Amino acid sequence: MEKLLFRISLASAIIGLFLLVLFNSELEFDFDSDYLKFEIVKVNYFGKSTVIKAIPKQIINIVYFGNFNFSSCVLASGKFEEFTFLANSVKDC
Amino acid sequence: MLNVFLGLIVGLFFGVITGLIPGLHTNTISLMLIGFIPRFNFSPGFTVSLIISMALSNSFLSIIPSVFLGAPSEGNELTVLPGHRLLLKGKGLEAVKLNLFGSVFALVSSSLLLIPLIFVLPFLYQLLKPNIFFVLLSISFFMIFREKNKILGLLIFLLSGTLGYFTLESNVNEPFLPLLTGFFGISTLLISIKEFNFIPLQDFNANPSTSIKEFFKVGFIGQISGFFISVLPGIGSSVAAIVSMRFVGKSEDAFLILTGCINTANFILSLVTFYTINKARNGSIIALRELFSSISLYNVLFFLGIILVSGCFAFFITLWISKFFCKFIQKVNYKRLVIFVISFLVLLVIFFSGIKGFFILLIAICIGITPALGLTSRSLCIACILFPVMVFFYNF
Repeated sequence: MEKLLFRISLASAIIGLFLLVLFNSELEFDFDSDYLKFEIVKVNYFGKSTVIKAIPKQIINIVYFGNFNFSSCVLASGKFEEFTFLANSVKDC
Repeated sequence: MLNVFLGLIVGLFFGVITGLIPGLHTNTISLMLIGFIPRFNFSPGFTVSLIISMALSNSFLSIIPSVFLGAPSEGNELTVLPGHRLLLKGKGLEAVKLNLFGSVFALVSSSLLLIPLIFVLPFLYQLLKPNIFFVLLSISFFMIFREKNKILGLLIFLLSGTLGYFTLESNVNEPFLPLLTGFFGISTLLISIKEFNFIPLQDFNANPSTSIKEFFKVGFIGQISGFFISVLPGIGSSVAAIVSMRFVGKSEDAFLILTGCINTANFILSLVTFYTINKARNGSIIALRELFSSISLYNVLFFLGIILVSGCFAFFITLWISKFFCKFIQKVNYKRLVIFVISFLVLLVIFFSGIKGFFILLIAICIGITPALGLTSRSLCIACILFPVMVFFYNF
C-alpha cells in the first residue's frame, strides 16, 4: 500500500503542476479589505490630501515605532490624525 | 510562475516549523504575513502559494510531535493517545504512516470531489445552519451515553466544557494552547513517565497491516466527515473523528487514518466553503479572504494545483522527518525526554498565554488525568471546544 500511495502522491503532484500552469491567472490583492484599507496620505498646506500608499494596520505600528522621518504623513483611518514621527521619504512609509 | 514556486518552498518550510513545534500555529504566521505584504512587496501568487502550502504541509506534519513527543496540536488532540501507545510498542513510524495515508487519501478524494461539491455545498449549508446547536447537543449526548460510567463521563464533560468556556471568554492569548496541552498532552505524558522507562527499539520497516478494503472504508468515512466540518462552523476535526469512530470501529489504526483524512479534507474543502458561501473555516482561509474579497473558479483550480504539489512534497518530508525522529528517540532516555518535553510545553504556555494560561494548564492537567488513567474516554475533554461553541449557537 505504501508504494501505491507513493505513486498516487507523485501523480497528484504532476496534475497539480498542470493546474498551476493552466490556471496561473493574475490574482489581485483587494486593497479595500479591513487589513489593507489604511492609507498614508500626504496633506498640503491647503488641506488637500493625496493618497500615497495603502498599507495595513500592522505596518503602521512598525512604522510608528521605527525611526522614520516624514513630517506630513496623515493616517486616513476614518478620522484624520497627524503623525508625529518623521520618515526619510515617502517610499519608506 | 517563479514567485509561485518560491512561495511554495517557503510555505513548506514554515509548514515544517509550525508542524514540529507545538503551540506555533499556521494562523499566527498567516496573519503576520498579511502585515508584511506591502513592506516587502510580496506578489499575490507568492503569498497565496505560501499560505496554502504552509497550511497543508502543517496538516501532514503535526502528527510527528503527537506521536513522538505526546504533544498535541489543534485537530490532532486525540491522536496523542493511540499514536504514543504505538510508539511505546516500537511502532512510532507505523503510527505516522497511518495518519499520512489518511492525508493522502483525502488529498486525492477531496480534489476529485472539489467541483461537484461547489454545487452541493450552498444547499447543504442552508439546510444545516439553523440546526447546528441540535447537531452539537446530539454529539454531546452520544459521547456521554457511550461511557460505561456515565456519571463520571458527565462530570468530565461538564468540567472540561466549563474550563473551555471561561478560557475562551477570557482575554488569554492562544487559549487553545493551555487547554489542549493540559487535557491531551501533559496528562498523558505524566502517566507514561510512571509506566515506561525507555522507548523500545523502533521498527523502521513497519508497514500498516490495514487491508486496502478497510483503508478505503475508513478514508471514505473520513472524507464525508471532513466535508461536514467544512460546512458546519464550530465542529472541529476531533469531534468529527469521535462521531466517525462509531462507523469504523475502535482500532487504533483506523483512528489514525481517520484523523489524517479529516484534517486534510477539512482544509482542502474549506476552499470550496470560501468560494461558494464566502465563509472561512480556518486561519489560513481567513488570511486569504482578507487579501482577496472574492475568488473565481479559475483561482480555486489554481489553489488546488498548489495543494496537490505541496501535498506530494509534504508526504515525503513527513516520512523523512519521522524516520529521523525514530532514530533519535530510541537513543535518548525516555524519562529525561518526557521531563524536557513537559518543561518545554509549560514554558511555551507561559510565553504565549502568560500566567493565566499557566493556571488554565494546571486545571486542564488535573481534569485530564482521570481519562488518562483509563477511567473515562479521553474524547470527553473535547468538550472544552464543543461546549463553548454550543453556548454560542444557543445564543445565536
